Amino acid sequence: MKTLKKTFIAFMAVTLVSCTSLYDHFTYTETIKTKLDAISLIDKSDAPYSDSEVQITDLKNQMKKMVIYEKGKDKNQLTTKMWELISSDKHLMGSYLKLWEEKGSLNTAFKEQAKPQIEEAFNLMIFYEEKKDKQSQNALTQFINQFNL
Amino acid sequence: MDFEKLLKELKEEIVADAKDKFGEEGKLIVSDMKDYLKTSEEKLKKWAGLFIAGAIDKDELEWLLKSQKDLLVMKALVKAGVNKIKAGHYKNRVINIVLNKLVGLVVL
Repeated sequence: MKTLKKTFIAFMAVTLVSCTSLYDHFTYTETIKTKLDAISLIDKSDAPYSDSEVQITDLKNQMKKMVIYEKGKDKNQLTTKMWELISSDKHLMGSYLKLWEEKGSLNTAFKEQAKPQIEEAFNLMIFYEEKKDKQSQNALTQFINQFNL
Repeated sequence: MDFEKLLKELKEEIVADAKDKFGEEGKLIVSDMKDYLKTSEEKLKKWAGLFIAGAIDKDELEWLLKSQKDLLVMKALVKAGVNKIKAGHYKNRVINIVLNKLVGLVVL
């Protein structure tokens, strides 16, 4: 009877957390890392684009990697959409890099105004991932703990 | 520069343009754009000042305006996601109640 109870609880625990994607520590740390890399590049963007080409390529690849990674997760459309938005060359960081490439270098006053915009975009993604942590994972832990397994 | 006047003119132009191009659907666009202007007012003032002073150019001003719109989209996505998580929790609570009852029956 006890085995049946455990099996039943395990089954329900899986059911409980399946409404949205779970907190993912890799996504969380990689989002912070990408944010820091992006800010570091913005700081350099009043200098020639060619001086930072290696770092720029790395950041573009990092953002592409995150889009592919997030797409691979089940029920994760919102986070995927945010990564697509931030990395697209028509929006936010992607378009910032494109503008820098086209112009060669950007105005100092511009980079100072653009920086908080990009920071806010990454902060929103970090906040959302944290929300998944606090809510979904806690729900699972609370659920399992109440049965003293 | 009289920024209040500029903002008022912008709102009027956007309303007229949206109604002209999109008819009834234009009302939604107008509401969306009014929110955009309202939440972005301080930034718009600063950016317009920098543009007039020649500290940023037209392409840079355009990037800043678009980035503000993108941020509003991202905020809407986060809000939708958090609501979805909350809805999921409510479902979980219901499942939890049912489950506790059933487990009680199995154990007894």
